This record gives sequence, C-alpha cells and structure tokens, in this order.
Amino acid sequence: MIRRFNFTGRRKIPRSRLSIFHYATPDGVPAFDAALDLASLALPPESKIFIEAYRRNYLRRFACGTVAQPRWPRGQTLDGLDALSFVLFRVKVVDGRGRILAAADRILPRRSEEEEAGKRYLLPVEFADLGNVIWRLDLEGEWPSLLLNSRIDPIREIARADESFRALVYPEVVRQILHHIVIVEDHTDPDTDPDDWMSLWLRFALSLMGRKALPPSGGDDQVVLDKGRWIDDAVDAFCASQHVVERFVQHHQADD
Amino acid sequence: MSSPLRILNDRGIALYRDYLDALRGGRECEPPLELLTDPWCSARLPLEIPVEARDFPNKLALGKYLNEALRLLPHAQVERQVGLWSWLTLFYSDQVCPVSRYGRRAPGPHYRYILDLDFRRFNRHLLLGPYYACKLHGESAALLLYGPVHQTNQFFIELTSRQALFTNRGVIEAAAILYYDPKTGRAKRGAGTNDKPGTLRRFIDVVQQLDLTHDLFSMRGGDVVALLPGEFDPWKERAKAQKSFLRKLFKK
Repeated sequence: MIRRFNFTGRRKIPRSRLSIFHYATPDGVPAFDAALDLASLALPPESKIFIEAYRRNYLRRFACGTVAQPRWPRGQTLDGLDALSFVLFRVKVVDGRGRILAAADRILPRRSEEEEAGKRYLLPVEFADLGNVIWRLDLEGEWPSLLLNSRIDPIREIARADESFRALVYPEVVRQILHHIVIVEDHTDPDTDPDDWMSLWLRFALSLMGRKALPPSGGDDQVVLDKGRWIDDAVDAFCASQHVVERFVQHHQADD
Repeated sequence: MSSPLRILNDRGIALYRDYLDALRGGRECEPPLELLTDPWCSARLPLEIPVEARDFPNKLALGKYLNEALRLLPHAQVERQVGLWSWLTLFYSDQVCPVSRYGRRAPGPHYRYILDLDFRRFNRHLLLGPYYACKLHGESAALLLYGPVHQTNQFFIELTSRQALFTNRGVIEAAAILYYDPKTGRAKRGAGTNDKPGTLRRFIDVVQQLDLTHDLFSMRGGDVVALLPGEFDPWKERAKAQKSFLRKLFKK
C-alpha cells in the first residue's frame, strides 16, 4: 500500500474551490474560463497566482494577478491546441521568492455546461490517426485517455452509441486501466490522494462492486493472482452496471 | 539557391518512407528530390516561403534559420504539419542523412525524418526539434543543439523527453550555464557522465524535486542554479570562472 507524505510545506488547493470550464469558441478555437476561491487558505495577499494548461509537450501559462486582486481568465484561448483535445490544468500560488505556497495539479476541466458540478469524468477521449487500429488506451500521459482512430469517419458516433462497440471495448478499457493501477503500479489504496487519477479509478471500481474490499498489495505470485480476480470482479460489476449483455443481445436481435 | 516551401502529401510521404526503407535495407539510392516539386506528391503553401539550400554548422544555426524562414506561418499551424516537416527533411537530405566516409547514407529511425505526432518521438525530428528548442529558448538552446544536424546529443534527448523541463526557460538556461562551454561550442567534459555528482542526470533529478516546491517557470537560469545543492558547486565555480573570463575578454 502506497502512502504519500507531503514534506513540501505547500498547501493543496481543494478541487471544490476550483472551477475551470474548457470549451470551443464559435470559431472552433479551444478556450477556457477559470475561477478559484482561495479565501479559506489564508494565503498572503501579495502572492501571485498562475494557471497552466498542459498536455504532453504542450504548455501555456497564464498570470492571474494576486490573491488580493485576482484576474480570472474568461474566454482565454489556448492557441496551438485542437478544439477536441483534452487538456489538464494546474494552479500555483507563489510567493515573491518563487516558492509555491499552494497548488493543485492534474485538474480535468468541465467540458460542457450540462456537466454536473462536482462530477468528474474519468476517461477523456481523443482522436488520432491510429493506422489500422480502431482504438487504443493511452496510459503514458498524465491521465489515461481512450484514443480513437480519426481515419474512421463516424468513430465518435460509434463510440457513443454503438452497442457492440460499447459492449466489446469499454469493459476491456476498464480491465486495462485497473490492471495498470493494481498490478503494474501496485496502487491499491484509493485514499492515497483523493484527486489522483488512480485513486479516482479505484474508488469508481469499488463503488461499482458495492463493497469495501480493496485489492491486495504486493507482487508475490499469489497476490498477483488475487489482484487478477479482484479486477475480474470489478469488470464484471462494470458490465452489470451498464447492462452490457442485455443491450448487446437486444441490439443483435434487432439487427436480425 | 532557394526553393518555395511545399508540403508532402500522403503519397509523397509514403514514397519518402519507401526511400528511407530502401536505404535501411542496404540499398544505395539518391534522395527522391523530384518529390519536392511533383504536384502529385506535394502541394504549394498559400504563402510563398523561400527556403535556402545551405549547410548549417550545427543544430542551433539550423533552428535559428528555420525560425526566421517560417516566421510568417503561425507556430500552431507549423508544429504539427507532418507534410511540411517531411518536405523540409527531404529538402535538406544532405544535412539530415549525409553520405558517410564510406560513401553510404545510413538513416536512423523514421521519426527523425517524418514527423511522428506521438509525444514521445515528436521532438526527435531532426528539424522540428531544433526549430522548437530555438523558438522556446533562443541562445540558451545552445546546450541542446550543439553538434551536426544529423546527430542528436544526449542533453537534447534527456531534457526534451521531460515536458516540464523542456518547456521551462529557467531550467534550460540553468543547464546551459552549468554545462555549456561557449569556448568549444559543446558541453563541458564530463557533464553527461552518469552517476557522478552534479552531472546531467543528477541535475534532472534535483530540478524535478525543486519543481515541487518552487515555481521554476518564473525564475531565470541564475536563480535556478542558486537553488542547486553543494554537489553542483564545482560546475557553478567553472561557470563563474568562465563568465569572468568572457567579461574580461569583452572588456579588452
């Protein structure tokens, strides 16, 4: 079980204090609005605030005034980024000597007005030229994402509504992500960092399974076998929650 | 001699890839330069951008030249244009894949010539990498860009493979202060040695730690250097001595 200690002295800005909304302007240019409530953190008023938008080798940084006089971005465009790309944000509050006083990282912005406040989406979808492959899970970045082949014209609609695709692809996505978290990373404690993507996915799996039994920790052969069974149970619970079998069968009966 | 910049289309890129495969398979063939102007394999840009056929002494000179030549094109449009970068590498074939002393061209992996949008290989393109490093860091990119165009140095590989470091001006400037020798136009001797105190790998480890507690983006190179612990003192001393030498030289 991995426990993390904060020796840095910097404060964590709770997600509940952040509101970042990422959207495309009518011209198709990605933009964002941001607002933060820093009042309860009792930070020095002259501290500077920075917001950074980033993904892989993309980074844009925005100075947002000071704690006493913040200037929150509204309609701030993100040049050099496709409107469909997902981007993460980081917020830093910095003193005059460049020390970070408070920060929040790996913030997934809200993507639509309809998205419920407080609800987090766990799996961003991206479109890329995957050659002869239909989909791929990208676990190399800061957040896992589902890559869909942009060569397939209606792939967006297929991924959203095609029952066969949903039945065959998404359970495997869940399996691969949990395998990476539980077996590759041996990350088995969902309370390590409430905002970390691995913890969020573990909590998602536990909520599906309706129980508190955490996966075992360690790398022994027996433990890895038990982890595999835990992942099987989680994928089964995911399929049950989505009524995967019923919908798949109904879809194919309708086709017949 | 200059030519108007064009963009290789899918067919042009496929033929260029075939050529690279043939070279890697041991065949001897000349670069298919006809693709550069063949309307079936390449397309014109809406704007006429002349590019000069010339030799570059190092990647820094190349990066500066490309920034100047492409200045009229928005960076956001340029940086992910696979066809544009592939056209340019074909145009500069003698620089990116020169004929060796044995009379053969020996290409490396495709991503060095045909831009690969996968973020792990993106900066490894032999022309886009220097262009991008120069755009971000100007003269401070000297440490990343010393050496001939067809070779990628260790500092470039290590520092550009970490996005948070590569995009950080203060960090790249600090690395240049510590490890770049302007007298030789190369890295200082021993700077890239593994597992020695104060060398590149340790610099990366320490800076990644400092990044948790300091906003390195708002710092200059000197400020980042000042934060480094004692093991970097010998490199700091050398940098200081070098600076005073250059100052004296300049005064004379």
